[in-house]
Amino acid sequence: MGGFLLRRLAGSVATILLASLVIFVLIRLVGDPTHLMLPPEATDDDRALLRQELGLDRPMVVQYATFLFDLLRGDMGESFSYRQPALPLVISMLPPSLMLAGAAMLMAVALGVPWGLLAAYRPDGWADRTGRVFAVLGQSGPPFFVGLLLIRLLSVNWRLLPTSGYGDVTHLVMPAFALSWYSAAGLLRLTRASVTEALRSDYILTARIKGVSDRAVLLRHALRNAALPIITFTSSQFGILLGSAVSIEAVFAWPGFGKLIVDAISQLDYTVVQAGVVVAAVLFIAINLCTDILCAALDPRIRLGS
Amino acid sequence: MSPLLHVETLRIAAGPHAPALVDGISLELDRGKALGLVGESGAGKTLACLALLRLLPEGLHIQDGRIRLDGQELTALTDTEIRRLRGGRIGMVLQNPLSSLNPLMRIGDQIGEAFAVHRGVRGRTALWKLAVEALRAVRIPTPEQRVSAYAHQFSGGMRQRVAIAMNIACAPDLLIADEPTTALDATIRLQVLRLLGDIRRERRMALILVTHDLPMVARFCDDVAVMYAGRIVERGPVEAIFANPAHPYTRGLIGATPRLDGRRRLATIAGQPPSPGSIASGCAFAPRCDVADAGCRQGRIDLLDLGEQRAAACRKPFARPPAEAAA
Amino acid sequence: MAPDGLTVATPVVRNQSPPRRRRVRLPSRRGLALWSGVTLLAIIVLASVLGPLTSPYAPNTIALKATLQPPSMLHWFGTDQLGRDVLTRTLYGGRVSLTIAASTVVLAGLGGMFIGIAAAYLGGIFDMAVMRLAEVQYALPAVILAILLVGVFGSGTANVVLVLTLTNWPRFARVIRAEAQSLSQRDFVLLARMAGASRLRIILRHIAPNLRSTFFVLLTLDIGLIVTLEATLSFLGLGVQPPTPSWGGMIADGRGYLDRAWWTAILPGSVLMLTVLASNLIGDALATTAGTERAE
Repeated sequence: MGGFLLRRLAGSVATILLASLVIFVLIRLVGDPTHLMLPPEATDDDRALLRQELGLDRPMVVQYATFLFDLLRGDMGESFSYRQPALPLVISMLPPSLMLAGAAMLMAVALGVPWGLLAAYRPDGWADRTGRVFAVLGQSGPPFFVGLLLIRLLSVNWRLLPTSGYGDVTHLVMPAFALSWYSAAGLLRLTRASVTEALRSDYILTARIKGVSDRAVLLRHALRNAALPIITFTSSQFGILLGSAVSIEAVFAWPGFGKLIVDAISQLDYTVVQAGVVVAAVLFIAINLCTDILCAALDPRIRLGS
Repeated sequence: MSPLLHVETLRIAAGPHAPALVDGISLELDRGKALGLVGESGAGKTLACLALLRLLPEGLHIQDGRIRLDGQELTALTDTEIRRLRGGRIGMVLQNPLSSLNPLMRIGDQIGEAFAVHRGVRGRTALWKLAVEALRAVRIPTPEQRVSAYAHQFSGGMRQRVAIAMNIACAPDLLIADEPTTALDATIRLQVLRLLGDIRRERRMALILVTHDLPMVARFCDDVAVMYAGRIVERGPVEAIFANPAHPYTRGLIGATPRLDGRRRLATIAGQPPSPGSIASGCAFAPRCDVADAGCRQGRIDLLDLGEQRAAACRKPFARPPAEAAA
Repeated sequence: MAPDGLTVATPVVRNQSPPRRRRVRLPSRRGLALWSGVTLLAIIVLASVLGPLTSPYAPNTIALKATLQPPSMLHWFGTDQLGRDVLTRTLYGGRVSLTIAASTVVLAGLGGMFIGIAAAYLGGIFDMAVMRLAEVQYALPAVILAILLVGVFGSGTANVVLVLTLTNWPRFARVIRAEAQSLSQRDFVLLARMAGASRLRIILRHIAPNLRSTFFVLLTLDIGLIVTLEATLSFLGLGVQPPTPSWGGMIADGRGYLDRAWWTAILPGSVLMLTVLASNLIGDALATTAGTERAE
């Protein structure tokens, strides 16, 4: 297992490096940022001076090397709009987004897994039928629209929750749910499929032949064996949640990472965009790595070999 | 002494008017005896066995018939009572030992589960101790070390022993072995079968051996029941039937068995078994039979008592085709 | 991922199913989903194509005297904050969104297919480079990558197509590559190679035609995703630019009036949701029939 870990770690680092290269190239493609940094009356000489200062006149390879080096030191330049170092700025905006994504993840699991389990246990029962509707709607509604619907219903019509903003739990409920619905839908379907699959296997029959009760068969055997794909899926959802959080934050005026990135794009604040994308990539890759490790740890066939 | 297991006109189908997959079979098994249940794939052997445990697959039900274990009527039991029966009085070993063991549970836990369910034993230490004994009983070397392993860490033959251990853990009266050696290497098969035979003798446990392998039945069973298209077409003591089969299908099966001495040419039975419900009347085997006549295609052909505890569902038992009779 | 025994759905009584002639037919529920999806999508597409031609209103005409009118016989979907007819704008927006989605699917699909086949067949460095690139794309959530690309290329309808194509080609490339690889091991390809056929010929004559069914299934699976991504970008102001109507843009406009005039945002959004729903229904039904698992 040690070798497996090392290989995955090396692979992740390689992916991060490659991602940083792609991001670097893309940002450079935009063109000369000096246009934005200086007032329009600036002369070409001023511009040339600034370029030299920023190191933009050096060969691309050198620029990339500097970029990487600075990245490792945590220096990703300064935000044009906020006049602060970009990387710390981006990281400081992470907690609200992580809180949102975390709440959404919890909701998705709490909703999707038990519901899927029930649906698998009693096919065509009411859990299965309502689950199907829930799932198909959840995967059809773009999160930002779902958020708006919720605001209209729960805030405007029924006055149950505040419309937007950042604060206590009541402010978290709607954005988290809007964010979670898509993942909950996927989890429900996956749980149902995996558990149904597990229930059809021979070892389930063996357990029943032994006289194990239906409930124990479901929980101790079927769910445990179906857990692996469910866990993998849950982690893969994290990236989607991060992405959708961007639009949710816009809808609910949630002061987080996503809102920062979108604003930065509109303001052409490229250092912030760069920093944000790099941070998102690192986070995402790290989560994937953890999931792989978790799966390997849980599956004795991978862990112990044969 | 009354038989341990008494099955009477057992009929299994998807619904009361759907074609029967098991069409009114009857058999008996004494305590400690071994019955070979023989037939081609699709004959209904496994379904009949699953019916004893009330573990028929989704959609199939027992439409008719009686199943008595030691006098107790199984079809009338509640779900809780049936669960106590499973593993407690009847065990079943499945064909593929890799897929029939839970890949994510340690062997000790899986065997221990049987004790937990039937003997109310709690706590891993106690359960594993019992599991070690069970592994020892199936002659797995160093059971104390093996008990913490996972299924994939065992070889095929060992896995099947583990499956047997799980099933005999609580000393059932009857063990059903559904093609227990089909998925195993030829060299291992004998070991597993010998193990089954020894256990049977030690514990006076009845055995139903489901297989399509006739020599295996000849060697390890006392009685044999031949199934075709959901019905039992012949049953009786092994030696008598193998020496002189009454039903043409049995004769065909024996003739289709390769012999190492090469004396007889390998004969095959032409045609395919019929799909359920496609033979409306008469003997289901008639289309492929070499001695069938018009009378064989009408009415219902029931088991005919042939004496000496033999029975065959044939109007012309012991008949031989003209060429063979002349030879 | 898991070795045999766990993922194979061994039917409990495998050796008991009598030799039955298996008729391959869609179970009725699947068939119902497929046809309702197709019908729904057809309605929306037809409405988007014909609606603008038959509507008495223009999508961009401002009528400040008739702002924020609720749905009525005059305006079936009501009017927005500038007095524009919401239904007309929704239909025009449908045209825009669906055209973008269709173009993206075609471009990403074809591009992905070529790259996938090339990668499978040329192998070596090209294959590795392509797969690494695809991996990097998977390393980023789609929305964030799209936002980055918009930052690079700018917003606007044409750029949106470009951005969406770049975001989505790996999905096609990966599947096609895997299929092409397995196909190239098959006997008829080996025979062709032994007969001396050139690589190009093999690709064109033998491999590509067999990929057709997978290709079409993939196409339908993704329309919903692409429409959603485009709507998200437009909602954030990074996609289709006003005054061109788009579903995302209309939802963004209507957001401020959620309490007073819900129809300006909710109705276009519902049409968007129905479109994605239709595409999902079709995609699921086809994926099941084709036997491929819908990787959620």
